[in-house]
Amino acid sequence: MLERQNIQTRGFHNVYDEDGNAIGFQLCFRSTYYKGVWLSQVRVGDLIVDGEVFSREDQTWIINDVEYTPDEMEKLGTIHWHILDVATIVVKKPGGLSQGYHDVTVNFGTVSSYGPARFAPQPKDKSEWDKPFPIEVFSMLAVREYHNRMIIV
Amino acid sequence: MATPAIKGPKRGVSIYSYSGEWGVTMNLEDCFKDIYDMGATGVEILANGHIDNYPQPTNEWMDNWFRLCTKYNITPVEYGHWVTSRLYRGIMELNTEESLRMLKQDIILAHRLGFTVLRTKLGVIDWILTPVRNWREIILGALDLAERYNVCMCPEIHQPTALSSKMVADYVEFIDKYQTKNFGLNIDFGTFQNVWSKDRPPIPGVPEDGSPCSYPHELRALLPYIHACHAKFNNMSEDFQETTIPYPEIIKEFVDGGWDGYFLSEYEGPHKDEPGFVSEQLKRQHVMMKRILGY
Repeated sequence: MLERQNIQTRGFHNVYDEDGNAIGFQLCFRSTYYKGVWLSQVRVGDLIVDGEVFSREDQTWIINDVEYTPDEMEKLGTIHWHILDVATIVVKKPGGLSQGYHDVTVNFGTVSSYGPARFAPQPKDKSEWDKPFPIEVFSMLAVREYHNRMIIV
Repeated sequence: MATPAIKGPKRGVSIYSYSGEWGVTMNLEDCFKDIYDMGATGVEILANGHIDNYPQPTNEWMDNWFRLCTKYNITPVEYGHWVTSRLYRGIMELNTEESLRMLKQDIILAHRLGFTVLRTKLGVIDWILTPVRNWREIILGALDLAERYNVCMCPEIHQPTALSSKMVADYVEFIDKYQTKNFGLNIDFGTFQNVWSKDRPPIPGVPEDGSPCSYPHELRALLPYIHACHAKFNNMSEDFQETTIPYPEIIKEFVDGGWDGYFLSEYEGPHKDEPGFVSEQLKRQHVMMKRILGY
């Protein structure tokens, strides 16, 4: 079963190379939207651990056992991320994370097509309401912050 | 228990209602059990939400689907899916060819799962939900396949869209022009909402004076075009009244007009992720509908 919150506590640990050296960490993340999305609808922002920022270039996302960069995902309009599947986010960090509590923030969003841009500011000028959306509205506006505080053992 | 052969409005539930518990405290069988408890006989699923491994479900998943439908006496009524027009960064309206690829895939899968109505969600281009400009080409390109697989593609007429809008008139004109049984309307009862919270911010396209987007009597001329309805509700009171949408008037129009089809419950109120909350709201709503319908 899934944990209710987006950032799952299950699956949070350091990752190691063949020699046993910690080379980074991973965590599991789920979308709490009511439906799955095509990978090209996924928008990824910074991942932050205790104030240390890992940009989208520092992350890979494993969905259905395949590892993608956020840029790669945005080009894939025929691969579906099911709502009940968690993504494993892998971050490179030599030495990994230290033992103990960590404050983790994931910036994530999805672009939808069937309504006004999610979270986009509604134009105050009503004459804008029946004008086509400016396309830039959809770049990163869908992204929101998700938090959890979790333990590395 | 055999399904009584009712001609008229029938009761069903959209699994969307359970979104807050989906995968956390409820699975598909839990939802079916709940629907069975209500004596409801139809279901809507969202393809992109409720089919594992969509768009290629496994045989095992398919077998379980049919097992559940049989065990709980549930008819697959409506298959919710999307033509995702903003599929790629920087693109507002996906081209017709790629839109059709997506749509055709869903027509075939819906048919395999036993559905006859598709809630075909087209992309929109503005705040008042005007559909993509190539919607006619997209639908036209899929009509033959929809006929072959015996499904009807239905855009959802959803608040703030009014029954008297140009959008609805355009859809009706299209249906009349092509004399098709494979394109129609899904009416979401939220368009009749006439009670609002006091501090409601303006909603683009919704009248600001508190009046509803549509009135029940406007259904009359549209009934032949309607293939399923979203029985949208926001709040059921303990004495089985919907406090924001005039259900008695709405249902009367469908009954008086001799309409035959399913009302699929869609809960849109708060506390969705509170275990059991939505089930109770649904049961209250089904008591109300059962009382109004008389069956």
